[in-house]
Amino acid sequence: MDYTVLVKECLKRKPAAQKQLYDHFSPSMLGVCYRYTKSIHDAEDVLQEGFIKVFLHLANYKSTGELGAWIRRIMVTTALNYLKKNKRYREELVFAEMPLHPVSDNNPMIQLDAKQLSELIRQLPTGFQTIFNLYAVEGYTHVEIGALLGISDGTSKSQYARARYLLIEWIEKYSSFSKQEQYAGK
Amino acid sequence: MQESNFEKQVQQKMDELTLNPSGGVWQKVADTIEKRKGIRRVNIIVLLILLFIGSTVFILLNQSAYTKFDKSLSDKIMPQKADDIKESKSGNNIPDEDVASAISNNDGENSKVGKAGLPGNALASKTKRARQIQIPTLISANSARQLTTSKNISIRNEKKVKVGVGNKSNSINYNTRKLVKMNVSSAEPEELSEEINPFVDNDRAVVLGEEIKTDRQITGTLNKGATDIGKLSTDTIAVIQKLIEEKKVDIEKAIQLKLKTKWEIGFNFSLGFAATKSSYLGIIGLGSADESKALDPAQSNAGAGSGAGITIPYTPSKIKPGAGISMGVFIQKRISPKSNLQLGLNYKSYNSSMQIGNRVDSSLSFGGNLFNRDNFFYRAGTKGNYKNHFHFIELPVSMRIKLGKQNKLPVYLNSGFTISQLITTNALQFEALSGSYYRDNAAFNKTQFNISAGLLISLSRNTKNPFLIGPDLNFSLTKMANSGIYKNRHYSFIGIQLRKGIGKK
Repeated sequence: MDYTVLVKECLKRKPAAQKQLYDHFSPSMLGVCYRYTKSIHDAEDVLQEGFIKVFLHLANYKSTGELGAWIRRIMVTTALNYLKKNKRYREELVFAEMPLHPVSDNNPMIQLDAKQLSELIRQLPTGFQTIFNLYAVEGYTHVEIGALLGISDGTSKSQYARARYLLIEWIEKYSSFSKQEQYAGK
Repeated sequence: MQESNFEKQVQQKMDELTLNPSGGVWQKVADTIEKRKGIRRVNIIVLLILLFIGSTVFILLNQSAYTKFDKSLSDKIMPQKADDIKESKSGNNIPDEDVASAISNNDGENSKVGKAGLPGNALASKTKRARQIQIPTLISANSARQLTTSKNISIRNEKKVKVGVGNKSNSINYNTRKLVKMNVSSAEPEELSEEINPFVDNDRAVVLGEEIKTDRQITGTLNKGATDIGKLSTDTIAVIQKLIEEKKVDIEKAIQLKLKTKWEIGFNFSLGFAATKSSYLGIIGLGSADESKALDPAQSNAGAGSGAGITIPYTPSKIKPGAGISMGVFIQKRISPKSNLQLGLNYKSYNSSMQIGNRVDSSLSFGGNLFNRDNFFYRAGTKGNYKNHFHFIELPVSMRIKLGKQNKLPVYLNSGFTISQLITTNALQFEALSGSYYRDNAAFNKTQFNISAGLLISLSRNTKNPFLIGPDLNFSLTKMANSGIYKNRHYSFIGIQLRKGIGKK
């Protein structure tokens, strides 16, 4: 889809174009926001703030880049700000210095669907959840994550390793539980 | 590699994750964007107003400083004026050590008429003295010729004196302002221009020596060791002397006028069109999105406590602009030669109209809510025309600033702020579920903050308090109401204004 015309129309502040852009990107972006938060309401709050930023700063978007990626970056930044601002998340978003956890070489095949996997990610403690999302899903490096969250890259690595270990454990448990349920004919 | 397989799987799965947001999210996004747009425009308006106020204050401060200087100088020098000119005609009363004049030249483009000069090192110490020199004696023949042939002579007064000591010359530069402007195209005094600045300083040095301006600029300078190059032609001096003698009374009156700081009273009256739109007269401003939203029954419905998203058959009537009238009294005080501060007290009435249906003499109760305290309401419909009246008392604070230099029919800019209080209104609100119009004064924001601007043109010449007429614009920055059909709307007015100060001519 060519977004050039749509972006131009949005820049002219035409409500119909803005709505079209929103309708097109909001489902996937809500998915992004959902992964960073603990409730769908918080995810919608982030989505709302994110889209407001998108429309207010659309003039800064350079048509050479992919629009979806640009909006996604805004959503991720908005989500991080939301976590930092919101007391409930801020208290959980503590990154204690911890010894480097060995990265597990366990690489299970993920049998879960997207929704199930996202639910597991959201079960992680907020710090783990955030770093896992940033590294594994968004593709940020540990140095970048350190800069974003104000922690050292070592802490980021350590937190990520623990998050990954925990998640794999849960995925395996969940998968075996699902299989048992399947065999039980449930 | 295996590790990246896990991350890749997660990435792929997460890219597939889509969730549908609830409808309220878009509504909030749209509302916020619209609001920000409005705020941006209001910010621009406020910025422009601040710029205007800032520049006005700057001008006023400068003018008041100048006025003080004028007063002190004129008190000292004015009584000696005529004698000084006589003396200056002789040209013998200025000691060489104090004064020298130089004329740098008058080839036509920028003729410079020489002014008092001091020799060498004595210059700095004698600056003060130099300011009181009878300079008229020291104008070159060239300049004199130019003066006698030019159409206008503007005589200026010094404002600042700077003494510079250079290698080649010591100079005194006078930053001056125009004080008297007179026509001397002929030697006949009756051909004088009537345009006399009321704040004239009659310093003899001002009259002839400070700076004499023709159609081309003439600036006075002092050069080291300069000597008397020439004298002002006797005819010219005579003409100027005569003119000043004749205008002396006018000038004295003008100075008295300047010093007059009393408040004066006046009255004003405006008549025009008033609108209740989300933008200025529905044309310029905050956009119409909010307005249409307010008219949307689903939105109105929310206020009634019903569920959102229900389709309701009733929509409120469009609100048409109506007549607007404003009248009152003001007091004004001259705070500079070109500007007046005005404070007032006005009564203002804005009207609008809408289509309504039959009147029902009963209280309006719906969904457990009692909407009207009056025992009547109107059905939605197009049976009749209903006029909404809004009555205000307002306190305007404004500045009247004279634009341009012409005195015959001067034009003024009149702008300022108004705080108004809605005293009463019969305006109808709309209940969308039952399709009813009812009165609810509590829904309106009673205190309004307005900005106003207008031009005023004098209808009569040479009077102290002329009849002024001109366009008048007014816009309320405060929203009319925070809910109902007037949600996010603003009062705006365009009309003709009449103003008249009361006092002696």
